[in-house]
Amino acid sequence: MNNPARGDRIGDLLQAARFALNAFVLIAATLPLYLLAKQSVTPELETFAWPPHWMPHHLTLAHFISVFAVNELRSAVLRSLGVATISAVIATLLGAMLAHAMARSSFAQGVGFSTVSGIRLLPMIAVAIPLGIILASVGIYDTPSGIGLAIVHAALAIPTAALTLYASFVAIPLEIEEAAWIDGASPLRIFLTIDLPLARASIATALILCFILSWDEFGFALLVQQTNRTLPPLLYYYTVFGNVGPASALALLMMIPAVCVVVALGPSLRGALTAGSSR
Amino acid sequence: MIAMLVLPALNGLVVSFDHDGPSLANYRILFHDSMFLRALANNLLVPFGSVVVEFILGLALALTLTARRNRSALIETAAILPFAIPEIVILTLARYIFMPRGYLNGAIATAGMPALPWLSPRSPLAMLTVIVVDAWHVTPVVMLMLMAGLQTIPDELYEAARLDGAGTFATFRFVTLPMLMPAIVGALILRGIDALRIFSTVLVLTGPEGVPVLSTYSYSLWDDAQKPHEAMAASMILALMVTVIGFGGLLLARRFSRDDGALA
Amino acid sequence: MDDLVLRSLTRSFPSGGGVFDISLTVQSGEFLVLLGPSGCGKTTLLRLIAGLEFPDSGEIQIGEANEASNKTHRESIAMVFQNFALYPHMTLFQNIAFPLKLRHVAREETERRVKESAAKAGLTVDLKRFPRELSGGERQRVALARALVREPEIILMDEALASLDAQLRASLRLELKEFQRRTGRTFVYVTHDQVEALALADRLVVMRKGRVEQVGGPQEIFDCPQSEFVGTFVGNPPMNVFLAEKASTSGSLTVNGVDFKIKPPEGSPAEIRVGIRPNDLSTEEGQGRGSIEVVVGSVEFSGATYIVYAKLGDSPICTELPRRVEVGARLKLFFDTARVHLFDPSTGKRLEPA
Repeated sequence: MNNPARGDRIGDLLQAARFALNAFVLIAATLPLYLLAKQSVTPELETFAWPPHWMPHHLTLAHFISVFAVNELRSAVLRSLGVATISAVIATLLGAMLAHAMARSSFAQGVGFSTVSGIRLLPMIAVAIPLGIILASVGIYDTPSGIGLAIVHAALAIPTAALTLYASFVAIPLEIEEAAWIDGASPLRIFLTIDLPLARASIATALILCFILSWDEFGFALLVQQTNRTLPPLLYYYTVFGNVGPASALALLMMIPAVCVVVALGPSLRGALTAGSSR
Repeated sequence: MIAMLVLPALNGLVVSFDHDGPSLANYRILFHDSMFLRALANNLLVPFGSVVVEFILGLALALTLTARRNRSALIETAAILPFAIPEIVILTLARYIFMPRGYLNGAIATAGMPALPWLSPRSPLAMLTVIVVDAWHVTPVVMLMLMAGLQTIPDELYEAARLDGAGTFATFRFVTLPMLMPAIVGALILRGIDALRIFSTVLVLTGPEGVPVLSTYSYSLWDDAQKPHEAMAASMILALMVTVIGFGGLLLARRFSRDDGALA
Repeated sequence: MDDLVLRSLTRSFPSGGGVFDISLTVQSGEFLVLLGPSGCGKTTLLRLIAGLEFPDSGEIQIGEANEASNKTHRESIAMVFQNFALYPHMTLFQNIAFPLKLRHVAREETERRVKESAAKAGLTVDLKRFPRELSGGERQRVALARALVREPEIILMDEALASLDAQLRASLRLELKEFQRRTGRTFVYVTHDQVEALALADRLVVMRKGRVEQVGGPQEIFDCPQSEFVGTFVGNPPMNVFLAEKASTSGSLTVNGVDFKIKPPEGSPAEIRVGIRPNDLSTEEGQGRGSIEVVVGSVEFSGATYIVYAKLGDSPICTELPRRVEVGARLKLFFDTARVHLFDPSTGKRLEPA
């Protein structure tokens, strides 16, 4: 498999298949980037051309300007940023506590792992509809700040954060915590000054993953923020109801954070991505 | 915090049995609705198709990318990229590609052939489109999981197999595949569970009723038809389906492999 | 400073381990070593003293105060862990200063005390460095400095030299003893290494299966083991022990028919365990000495002496001799009857000869 022998016909065939696959991968990855970029700089009229143009005939920055000029768009960008930041911080902090408990007690480990996998079994739609009613009763349903959605996203992201951090906490020797206790530190103090700094690389990863999880999330955002929309539902409405240019500009903006992270960190994110992969 | 998700679901469960008092009426109504039955069937067909496509593509990619001679950071990053792009962005673009006056039909027209209704409601073609787009976004996840599994197979095993005279296919059949089994089973279960919850792909591409699945059906009952009780009943059926299939898969996996660690 | 008093401490684990009914007084300023094989409960006892474990019953008291609250208890105890447990993300200075920081000690005083205890611990490296840049011995000194910096009355050490190589261990052992003398602190030190224990201890506590076997000075433990277990566990090569019978005629003890010329105490059982240390056997004749004849099986050179493994009848016997002997040779060995230890075979307790 690794190094097919010469004259191995299956090997030659595989080699050809590999080239095809690689080409396919490149297209699947770059086509969306290209087409969105193209649409985002194409004047609105030209987008109705038939057959569609593969290259823009005229260029414009109007769509990007409109993203920041139109109130609805601008506030959605800011709201998404806010929601993603708040939820990432909450989820990472609580996820870190959960992961720490899981790393230190086998009971918590059992409960933790079954809860984390159990959450996966819940369909978004089964949660989101009643959740809207509950949030409304607490008065944080569809608020301009998006705080309700931030809390929901935090809850969604806790398993991701916990799984990302779990291994780092397991790797911290118990002796170090005991030494800090003997030195006179309280449990909270130990957690804050010893555990968190020692796991800081994973904390950063968890923050990034949770941020992206919230930034990308569509279903809950659609159902919980019906009028004060965040980016994904807004993009949905733009896509369904016309406005190709602004929708493309918006989409391009939306993928900046995640794409940057993947391109920059690349393979090192692999484990983390699969640990927390969930739509 | 976990209660943020579990409590609403339980609340939903209660609501689904409430039809001017506790009864099964909501569920009875559902099973007399042809749209619900279509959604139910689609909710099996689409995830199944999607998982099959993802698995085949993901395995091929994982094998290509882990083979030492073919390591390429560029290809690997490109392969992960569709998953890094937000789902809604992929879907937006897919819509522009597959819509009647979209890029795909444009290309077909340029080639002088008749355009195809890629997204028209109720057509099998639309279901195929949904499957392909869904797989486009999540194949990288399957690939990453299988790559993680492949990397745990020691190189000596391959060398031993070569010395024993095994060709490419035999090596794959007798070394790679059995060693990869735990990762395969794990990936299939996780992806299967996620695929059953398909929602946005359908909503964005065809609208809630083009290729209805349980999530979109439930959504349209709630959002358009304002029937929360029946909406909850439909989503509870989906929850039941995910749970049954998820646990069934886990039990099967336990029987197939002793390495439960790969599935945790 | 005050004594540390343990009263009937019991802490049992589901696995069957733990410590049972331990009463002990650690005198102020002494170097106390807890010695025993792994699993004997010595680490559990240390962790109980540290407050890392809580006793099922019994109490721990520091000083004569009728109520030693948990807070003051923690204040008076510091601990050095087996792997030193330095905080990897902090510099050496931050590591040593950590206990002071938790107590909100002013900056100038912190600086003064950190430098002072670093000096006392013999730490000469730049305190701006990180633990990972240090050798094992230097880490040990940092751990000591950190334990010392808040001026505890008692410093606990858990196998603190075990992870170092043999040479370093020997030199740090000396340093540690010197350190203890200089600082005048009470040390409670856990080890399974009897050489270390004999070298360091003012007093030794030999433990076995969660109970105290014997408490005493190193010399006392070595010369006068109160049980067969202590006799064989302390000392290297280990003590030879035989099952002896009372000769019907003379009433003295015989091993495989060889008369040891020792009379067991009145009313002792018919069979008795007889122990003699390898270095108490010699080839030189002397007044009033017992003698045995052995066949040499194999010889090991240990540097200063030869360790001879031989057979006394069917029983293996070991001796330490200043010169080489031939394998297969018959050898006459002499011993001082006062250096022979008698143990009750059923209880393992020491018996004094009549």
